[in-house]
Amino acid sequence: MKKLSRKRRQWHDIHARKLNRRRIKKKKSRTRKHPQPSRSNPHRVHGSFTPIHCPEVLSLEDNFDGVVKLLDDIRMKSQKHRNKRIHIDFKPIRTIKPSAALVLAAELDRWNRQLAIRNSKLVAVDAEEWDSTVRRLLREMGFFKLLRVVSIPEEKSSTGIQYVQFCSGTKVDGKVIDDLRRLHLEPFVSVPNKHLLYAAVTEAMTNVVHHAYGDQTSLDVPKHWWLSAAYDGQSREVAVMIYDQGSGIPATLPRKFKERIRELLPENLTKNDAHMIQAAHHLSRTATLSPSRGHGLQRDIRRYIEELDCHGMYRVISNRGEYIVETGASSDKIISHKHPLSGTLIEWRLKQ
Amino acid sequence: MKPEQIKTISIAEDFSAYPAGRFLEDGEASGTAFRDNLLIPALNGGFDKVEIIFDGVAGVGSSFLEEAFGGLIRKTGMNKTDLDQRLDLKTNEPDLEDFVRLARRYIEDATKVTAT
Repeated sequence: MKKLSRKRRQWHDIHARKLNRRRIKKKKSRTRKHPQPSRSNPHRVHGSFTPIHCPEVLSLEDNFDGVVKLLDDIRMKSQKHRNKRIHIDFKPIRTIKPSAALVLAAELDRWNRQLAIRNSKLVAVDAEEWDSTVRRLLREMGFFKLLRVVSIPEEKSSTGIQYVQFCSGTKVDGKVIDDLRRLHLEPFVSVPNKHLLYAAVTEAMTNVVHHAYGDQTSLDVPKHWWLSAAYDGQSREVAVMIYDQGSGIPATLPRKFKERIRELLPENLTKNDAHMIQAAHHLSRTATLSPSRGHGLQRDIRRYIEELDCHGMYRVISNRGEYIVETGASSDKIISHKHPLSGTLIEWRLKQ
Repeated sequence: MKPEQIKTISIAEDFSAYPAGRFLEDGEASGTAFRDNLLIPALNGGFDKVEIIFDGVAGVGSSFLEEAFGGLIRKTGMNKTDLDQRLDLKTNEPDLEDFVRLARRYIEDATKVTAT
């Protein structure tokens, strides 16, 4: 047998190492494609996945950018990595607020509908490891129904706040609002001016159906609204929220409204979403330029809070703008955010 | 003298307790559906007067009211004076009186716009 030269031996060493590396890589990719369920817990999945980490504080008031980043992450990865397994890690969450939970539920609902087209679905894999307050809120809001988990035991509220399971639709559905008030809120807390609340929420739904999604025809964004509520029996506080994933109020105002706002605002402010939302409310109060359409924002949606005898707050977040009206406050408040919330969230809060 | 013939329509009982939305595609209980299926046929039905009763509704949004009552002016060419004589909007529930006032205002607004 011929003795190998030193050069040839080196070549064989390098080649063997390369082959080994290739074998390991191949093995890893096989594991990623076929993750195995754990024997002790069928909901837990071993193997590789694309991770999405939730922030510790899931609140639009206290961590707006963190919530928006999470939503963007879910949307981007669910679209870009369609064939990969994605894991949203809920374990870091310590605080969660109802409005943030609603926008997250909407995002998961949208993703679930996308997956359903391919006969797939979202699953909760480690719910028992989540913070118990967070788990309870998500349970009450209908997350586990959405994620088809039935084995999570009911937990008592330590904060006194109860959440109403979210619902969604693509049409203006007045019965849903009446049921929300009559069946889910009024047995526990009284809701004043019920007829005006009905008018406010149906008008918000009408705006979603008519304007929110503009000409978007993508299947990725179903033209839905999502509705939920929360109440605190001890402090007698009620919150009702509706959210859509459309193009946002500043982008979908009727053309005549936009022209009128441009006449009223300095040019640099017409690109500011918060100022545009505020101007749209003020204009819809007085405008006669579009007599048949566009009045619902002020006449019904904001009015509910104005007519209350108790303390109330009305809040709209749309794209980068936030607009807040509080009873008893001398003026409206606007906030400009660095990153946009995809769509529009409207929230009515009242305290008796 | 022939007695006055009155047609009474209860929005809650004859149409829906949950009126909402403007156009037919918004949902089953839209302003367009109410106007075209109940209001206009009643006004064209040979009655001296048509009474619309608001009692029993869960509430009414402006889109519904504007399309049903303002749209009546736009679609039929009637004006406020015609409707003052023939259309009576009523409620016995104090909480709903605002909606009745708003419906009358939409009739006025639409008459003004149609006149210009």
